[in-house]
Amino acid sequence: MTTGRRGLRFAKVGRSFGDHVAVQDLELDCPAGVLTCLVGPNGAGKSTALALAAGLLAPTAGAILFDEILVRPQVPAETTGYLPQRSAFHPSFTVGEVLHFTRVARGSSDEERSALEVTGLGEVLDRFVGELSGGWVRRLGLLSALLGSPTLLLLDEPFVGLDPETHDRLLSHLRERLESGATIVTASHDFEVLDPFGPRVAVLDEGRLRLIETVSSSDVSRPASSSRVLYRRALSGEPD
Amino acid sequence: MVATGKALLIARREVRLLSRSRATQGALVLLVSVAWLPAILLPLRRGSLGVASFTELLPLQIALGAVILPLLALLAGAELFAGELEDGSLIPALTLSISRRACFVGKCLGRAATLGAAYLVAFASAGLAVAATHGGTGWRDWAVVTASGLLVSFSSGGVGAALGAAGSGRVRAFGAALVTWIILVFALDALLLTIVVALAPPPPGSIGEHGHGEVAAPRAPPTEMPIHQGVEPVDPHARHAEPEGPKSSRLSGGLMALNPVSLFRVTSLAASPGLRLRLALALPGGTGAGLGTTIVAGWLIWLVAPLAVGLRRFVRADLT
Repeated sequence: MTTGRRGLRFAKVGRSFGDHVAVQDLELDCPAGVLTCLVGPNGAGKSTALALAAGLLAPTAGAILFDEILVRPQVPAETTGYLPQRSAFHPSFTVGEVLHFTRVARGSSDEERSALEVTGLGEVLDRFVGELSGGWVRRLGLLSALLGSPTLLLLDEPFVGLDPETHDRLLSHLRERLESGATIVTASHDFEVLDPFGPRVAVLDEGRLRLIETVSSSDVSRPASSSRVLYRRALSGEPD
Repeated sequence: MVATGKALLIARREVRLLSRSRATQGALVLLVSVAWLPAILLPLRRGSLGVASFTELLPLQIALGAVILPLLALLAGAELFAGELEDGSLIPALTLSISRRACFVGKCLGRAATLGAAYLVAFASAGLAVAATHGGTGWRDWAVVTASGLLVSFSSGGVGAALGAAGSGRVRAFGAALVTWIILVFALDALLLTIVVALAPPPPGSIGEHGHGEVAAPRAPPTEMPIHQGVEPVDPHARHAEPEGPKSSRLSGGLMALNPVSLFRVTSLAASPGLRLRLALALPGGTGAGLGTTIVAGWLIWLVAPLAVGLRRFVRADLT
């Protein structure tokens, strides 16, 4: 990391929905230039943590900071690209219109080509969102998150619904972004895909952080140090 | 990009979205019906075909407008945020460099511009048809009623937007809009009218003729016969009663301003003394003095306050 950026920090963050505690006392650093991977069973609080970091939800306790600035409401959204678990765009817009809107809103220009290449959406620019398959809508969500080179990328299950080619292009793109000092946080169970990044793996369960450990990218061939093993160990309560 | 530019970007997006929506086409048909049907149907009472004059048109236009315009605007307002938040299609915009404040302002601007244009097209075309047939007599009253119809639509739309801004879903937002419509158009309107009539001082000369406390319709338009006219005060202290007319008028106007639908009626009626008589809805004690300020203040509050509440709810809402 050469940018001097601090990255994303969850400081004792809590979030409840009525009586249900989705995230509790989450203390987590997601450094710049490193891929942080939130893993955990369904309902563990991964998506809630990402929505909190995107500023779409307000924490009921604690604070979230990006580069030591409170995420909500101070951090300008130019810095954040967020892919929600369920991408949705109004069906009466064309892909080209969504792209134009996103580009104007972000104030981006040159980066458009890169994001288009990753998502492969160039061939369906004239089609209405309502006519697209789920996979194409997912790609459109990715485009919206990647366009403008935001320095904080929050990606909820980014590989779901992607064909192998798009999948590989996205991996290359994420690697480039990490090298340029971006902070990337994903919620994903694609352990084998993400292990080569040497991710910082945070295992969540019932809203609590159970384990945080970095997988060395040079050790990915050793099963004992893979994120899948870390995940199982954290949830089973086994010692190191 | 400054916040204004982003709000305009969202406003353009909203206009584009609405221009492709069947709900907008339906709203336009409904507005054209509200504007044109009274003009076409009223002459049928006389057994003739054609369009009614402005004077004939106004009572029915006020009656229809007070019921239909708030309903249409409340539903359109409630859907403004509830729909897109439920679908999740606003989330990508909100995670771009667009603040929630700019998003709220932009969407309200876009929807107000689109539905306002549809309203003006519907009523201006009807007005032109009437003017072409009967000339311009009474057009000012008609214009005031049409303008106050636009105001009640915008204020009701603001209330609807506030109801749907917390992202609780379409069904709840529409339910809340319908309940609000029933309250504003029927319950609160009737209650305020009752209070206004009950608080009204007896018209001059009614004591002895009608008994104390009995409410009687004015014999002439208030502007032509102020409340103190023709009553020679015996006691010099009685002169203090002179401003009672304007004061009472302001009180009545103030009460009616508690409800945008009642304010719509008052604005429409205050513009036309003739209508006040025809509809038997005279402003108690009304000379009309001071009423204009009350009406303007009432509209300003009803146009701004719901949007302020809606903005506050939208900024604080959990949006996922």
